[in-house]
Amino acid sequence: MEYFLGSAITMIAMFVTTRLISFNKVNNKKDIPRYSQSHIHMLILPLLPEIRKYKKKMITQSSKHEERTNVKVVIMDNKAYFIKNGTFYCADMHGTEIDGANATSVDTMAMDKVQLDKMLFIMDQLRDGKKDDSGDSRDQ
Amino acid sequence: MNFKDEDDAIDQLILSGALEVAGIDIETGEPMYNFTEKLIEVSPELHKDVSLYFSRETMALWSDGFLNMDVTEKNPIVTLTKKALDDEEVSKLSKESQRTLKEIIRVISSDK
Repeated sequence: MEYFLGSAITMIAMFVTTRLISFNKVNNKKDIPRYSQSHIHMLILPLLPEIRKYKKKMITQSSKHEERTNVKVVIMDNKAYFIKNGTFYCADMHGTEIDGANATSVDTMAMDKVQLDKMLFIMDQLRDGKKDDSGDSRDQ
Repeated sequence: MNFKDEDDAIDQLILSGALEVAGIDIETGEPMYNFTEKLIEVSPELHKDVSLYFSRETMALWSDGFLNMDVTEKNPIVTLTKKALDDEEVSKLSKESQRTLKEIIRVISSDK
């Protein structure tokens, strides 16, 4: 009789414990909204230092592809300026077309201060914040 | 908590236990994250922003007729309307609202 009572009490205790554990498990299961990485970037943006918001340029696969396949051109005084293979070129404009075939490298040695400042300004526009480009004016 | 940039913020939040990886979005391949309850201690500003953002998005979805809820209640029960399951209507929403609605549908579906 004692063995039977002991077994019954043990089984009841196990049953109650099992039910309590599973009840807590169900109650603890909270399915909360998930956020994608870009969504989190958007949420974090107001907490970033002001300068980061405006200066950061995302380096993505598409931006790398664009950089590889396109050449940035600055047009000023009916002339087109661009950097190709590390050389600073100047080409004449024919209407809206750039005469790329007759482009010549810019000789900064023979320029006066006004022309040089103009070239440095164009170079800075072409560089667009790149740090490893040889066209850095280094005076800012 | 001060963040240098977006990536630094995610690193810091994960290391402090306020953010955890929840999986990968099968449509975009982007990592998905959950904010944990620690967020309020780690970054109260971000916790406030996230809560406000979610409330604002939910209210916008309700006012556009995608959700049913009693807005006068503090913790209202949210249910979906037929419009929320209409792909054409959903496609008219902004990307952010579509994402929020998708998450609400997922949470409601997993509760059943």
